[in-house]
Amino acid sequence: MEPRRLQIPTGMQDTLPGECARKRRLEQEVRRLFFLSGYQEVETPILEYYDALDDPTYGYRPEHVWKTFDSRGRVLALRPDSTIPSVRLAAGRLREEALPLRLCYVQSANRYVSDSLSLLCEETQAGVELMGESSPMADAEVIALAIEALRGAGLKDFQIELGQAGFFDGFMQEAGLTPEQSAVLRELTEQKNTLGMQLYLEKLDVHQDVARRLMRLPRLYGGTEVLDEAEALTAHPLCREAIAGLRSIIGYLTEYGCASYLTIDLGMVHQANYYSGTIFRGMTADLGQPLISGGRYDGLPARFGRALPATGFALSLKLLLMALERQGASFKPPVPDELVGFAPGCLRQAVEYAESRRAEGCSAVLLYDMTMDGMAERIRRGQARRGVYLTQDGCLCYPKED
Amino acid sequence: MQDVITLALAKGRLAEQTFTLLENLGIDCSEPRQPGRQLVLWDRKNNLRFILVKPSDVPTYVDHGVADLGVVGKDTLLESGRPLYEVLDLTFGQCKLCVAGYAEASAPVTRATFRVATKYPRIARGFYDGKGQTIEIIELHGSVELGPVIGLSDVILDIVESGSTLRANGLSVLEEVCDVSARLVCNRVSLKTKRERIRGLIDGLAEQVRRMKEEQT
Repeated sequence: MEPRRLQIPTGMQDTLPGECARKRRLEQEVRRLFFLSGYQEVETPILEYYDALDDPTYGYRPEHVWKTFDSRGRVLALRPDSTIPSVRLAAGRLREEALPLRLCYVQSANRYVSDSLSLLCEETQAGVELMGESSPMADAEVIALAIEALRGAGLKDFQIELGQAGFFDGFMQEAGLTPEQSAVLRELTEQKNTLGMQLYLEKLDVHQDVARRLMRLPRLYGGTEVLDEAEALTAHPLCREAIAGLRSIIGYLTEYGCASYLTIDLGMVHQANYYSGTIFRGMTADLGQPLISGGRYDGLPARFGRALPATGFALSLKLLLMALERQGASFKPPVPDELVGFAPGCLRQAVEYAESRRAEGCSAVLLYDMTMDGMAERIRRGQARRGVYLTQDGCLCYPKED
Repeated sequence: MQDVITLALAKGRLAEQTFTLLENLGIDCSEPRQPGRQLVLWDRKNNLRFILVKPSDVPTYVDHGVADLGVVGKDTLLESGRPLYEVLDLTFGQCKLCVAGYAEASAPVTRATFRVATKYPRIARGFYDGKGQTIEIIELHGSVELGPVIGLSDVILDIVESGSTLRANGLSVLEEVCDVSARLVCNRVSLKTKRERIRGLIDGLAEQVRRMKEEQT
């Protein structure tokens, strides 16, 4: 077999100059946004003990986690997201930090996507976690930050869809369903599979009225009118609380000037089911899948030994880049500002000149063994914005300055 | 201007029956009914675009969001394993996914493994994993019935409509896996971002399906 010297493993990717420049700019902007909002950046190791992820309620299927072993045979996992590592920090080395804790990260996440689905296995995610704050205002802060991150990146026509994990739970409890039964309905609801729900409910032999109410669940999406509809459907305290919570968050987000981005889907369930309260995802019509996923996960830190309310989100920079490109953003590699050519014996002048330009923030690239004409030709071909040619007698600019 | 809605359809009977439902909703399907060599067809008045593709590609187009909606058999949908919203059972194209073989336990092809010939390796894997049975899957792309006949496999897992092909080859249904019919699937994002138009189409089609059922009874 041919050695795979020029290939990279399936699902991995190289980021080439044009895209990489754009990606770095996005990363810088989002870092700055998080920093200005009081979030402190952390980095966590790419490998974690698999034990930290090995809980069926987290929603990581074991086959989706990249694993390896350390020299003592312990199972290690490539982090599938940065929420668990952030929680691990908050419950561990950042235990003594004053609350609320605002953490952010821009780092890779790896998931093994099995079968033939050609999804990427590695992506850079930018996200925040706000821990130790249970107020709906904290939810609003995090959601507003997600909106600002997309707006700041120049994404058009996107929406943030709000859901409520507690609403689903209350709805199931009210119907008198067991956790196993609600797990089945959770999956069917996530697929908006009304037929599957109908068949399953017939099999369960639940009361007609209950079944009719449950069947509304996949259709509870749209504008805020959905909340009125949901209120009329259920009197369960968890659902009431969920709807009231959503209403107050929407109220706060209106104060942020973000109301126009919001829609509701009460049938939304996240793959990871450590989420407990308001959950959300960001989407745009230019992309077939959500590019932001987040929400409240109050129950999770306690599993790591520190009970803390918490909320956050992760933004996939790869998906954001794809959406921006589909909306017409260009990924041309950046062109150097100046080429610096020089006559034989003028290297010192050329180096000094180039350094002075760089000090001013312009990129300058030296050209070796090149005539003035050769330099001009390169600039005509678009290899730089302008050129400067240094000789013993001084310098010539191309194109000529007015 | 109205958003363009793209509908992915598998050429053939499912598409024809879908056109009939859509025409009842006032959608002009004359272009896609006579596609010629065109692959992208329009109802310009309603800003509706049709793409005609291979059945197993319908979930792919919808998952990637290049088609907002698709019509596809439940068998193809299950096999694709893609995260789509399955919004409506269109009730036509009914059949069953079944395991078929010789009713009288004939000598196994090999004693070492139980071999299943199928066009649906993912469904077969899921079905037998669920039963805790070890199998070897032999993926075929047509005339699966040949498997047991010619001694390639012990059983087949395939869709069964009338069962006449099975009977003609001396095979019978041993187990039913699930019911199959045409499903309307929707991209997870389109359902929300093109809400009004897509909801309108789904509701309209649901109404048509209800009427169709009433007429049949």
